[in-house]
Amino acid sequence: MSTTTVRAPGAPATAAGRRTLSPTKGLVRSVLRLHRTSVWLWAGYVAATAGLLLWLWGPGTSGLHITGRCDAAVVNACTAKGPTADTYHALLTRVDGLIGVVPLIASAVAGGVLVARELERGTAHLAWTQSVTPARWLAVRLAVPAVCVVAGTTLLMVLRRLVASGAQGLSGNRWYDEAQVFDNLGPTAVALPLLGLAIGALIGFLAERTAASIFFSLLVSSLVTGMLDITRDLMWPTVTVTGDVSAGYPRFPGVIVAEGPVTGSGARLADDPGCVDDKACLAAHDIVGYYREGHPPSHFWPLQLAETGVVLALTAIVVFAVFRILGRRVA
Amino acid sequence: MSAAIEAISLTKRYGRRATAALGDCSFRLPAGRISALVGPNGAGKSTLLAIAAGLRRPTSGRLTVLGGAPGEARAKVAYLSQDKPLYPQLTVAATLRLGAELNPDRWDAAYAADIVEQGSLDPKAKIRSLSGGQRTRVALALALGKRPELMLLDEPMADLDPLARHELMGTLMGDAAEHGTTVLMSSHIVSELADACDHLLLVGGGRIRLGGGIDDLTGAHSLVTGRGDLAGHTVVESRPSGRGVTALIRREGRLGEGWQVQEPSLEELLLAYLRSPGAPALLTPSTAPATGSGPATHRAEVSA
Repeated sequence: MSTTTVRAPGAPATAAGRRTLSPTKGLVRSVLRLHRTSVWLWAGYVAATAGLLLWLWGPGTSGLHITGRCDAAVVNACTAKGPTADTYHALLTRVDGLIGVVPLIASAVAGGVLVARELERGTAHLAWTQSVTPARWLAVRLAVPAVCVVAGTTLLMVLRRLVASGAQGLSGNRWYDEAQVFDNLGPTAVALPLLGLAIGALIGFLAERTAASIFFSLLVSSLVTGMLDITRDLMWPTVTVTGDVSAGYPRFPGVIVAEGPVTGSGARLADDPGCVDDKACLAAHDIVGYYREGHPPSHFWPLQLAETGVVLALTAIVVFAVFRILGRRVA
Repeated sequence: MSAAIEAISLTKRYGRRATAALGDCSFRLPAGRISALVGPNGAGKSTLLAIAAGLRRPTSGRLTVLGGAPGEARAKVAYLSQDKPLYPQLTVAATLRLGAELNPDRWDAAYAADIVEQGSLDPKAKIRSLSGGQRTRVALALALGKRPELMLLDEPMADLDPLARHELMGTLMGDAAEHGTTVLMSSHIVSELADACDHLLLVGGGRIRLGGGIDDLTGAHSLVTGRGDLAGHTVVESRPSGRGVTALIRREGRLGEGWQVQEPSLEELLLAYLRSPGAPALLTPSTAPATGSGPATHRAEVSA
């Protein structure tokens, strides 16, 4: 890098000795200064949540005194009765909730503070009439929080995985117990907040009012994450296990998507008539076995990667839309 | 002379059905002029300034700023609007630092600090604690610190008391005179414009109705009182006065006998045009766009 300042002909002299900032560097600094509070709050949140996860991983786990052998294929194969067990479970649920709201918070902050408040106050116009283009302004405005969010959530996700591996198979650490646990144990924990940021930015440009933007960002992000929860099971082919009628329902550890009786022709019944051992009932309904369909524990990574891919693709589409809206508005 | 702003058939419509804020607006603002932008409320002044600043896209037509698209000239153009948005949570010093960060290569920190100092503002004061006049001064420092070649001012002094207004106009005009900055300034206060400006653009119905040097424009018109025939001259406005009429006309040759002739003041000229929305447009040659013009824009030769 050259240390001399290159000036366009006719450009006025800047103050002597002043180091020239690259446009992006200047913008990054301005975003960090303008949103110092948000940056500190985020750092505080990450530090506090990481602290809780570290306790869970260290003292929390060693005080569990797990009895039995935790086995994914066995229901309640192990239990924890140690001195920290109750706190451990309560805290784990809270921490999962804390990590789970990050996408919503990200969308509210992006919609409300990063975009709508700037438009509402007119300070966006202030920035756009300096030397930076609106597109670069928006790019930096999205990139800075994106970097903060990726750094923070990656740290939390890694710690959450450490906690889970410290007491594997214990309820609350199994990905198939709850959608939130699944999301927090893999890259979706990093991707979902990015989608939240993008949705917030889009809503911010559409609503242009801080309060309305926060409300609609929260609403839309909740709807989108809800949709993802519903469609997650479809993102990877399921596995079906069948058992004969005498054994009843086959054991299926993992996420069960569908289950029911199977007839002699191989058809699956939507409703179980509840025959159990009633031979006449079984014959009447032609039930020869039972099936269970779903995702076994081994489907964690395929599901994680598929969902992360979908989330990142959605993020890219929303970000593209945001830049289109900006480009149509300003020169 | 090169053009600071050139508009060709510029049209801006807000919403699909709304009447155009600017309709087929064509003009040219030569570089180095300090031009007033006058017109009734809703005439399209703010829209025109916002398009020139790159804050809005025109619906159709073309506008060039300093020879390029409005968005390309950003670094060389300063824009100040009546609401003068600033970040309330920042201090004065931090606001100026923002100017440095957002105007790399152009920012003149010492100059911006000077402007703030002239108003004896505490650099550590938060923007939200400042008065309207003080806030305008900070906004002005931010606008001038980038050393613009063109300044677009959308009634920046409208909400200030006369003293602050006088002081800040002085700073602004002093800067423009010293650096040869082109200024396009909208205002409703004609006396202020008459003092500060040497050029005029009158907007009405989304187009330029009068454009040119103020002296050229006033010189091209006559305020006549008396009786007789005004055929052959363009009558902008005519009112009964005593037993005759008082008329503001655009002379097209010699006047007949029996007329008392006076050169109108800027205020008289503006009022006559504002009261007669149907009067034909007049753009001096330096103000008419070089290539093409709106079909309804009448170009007239003006003898200086």
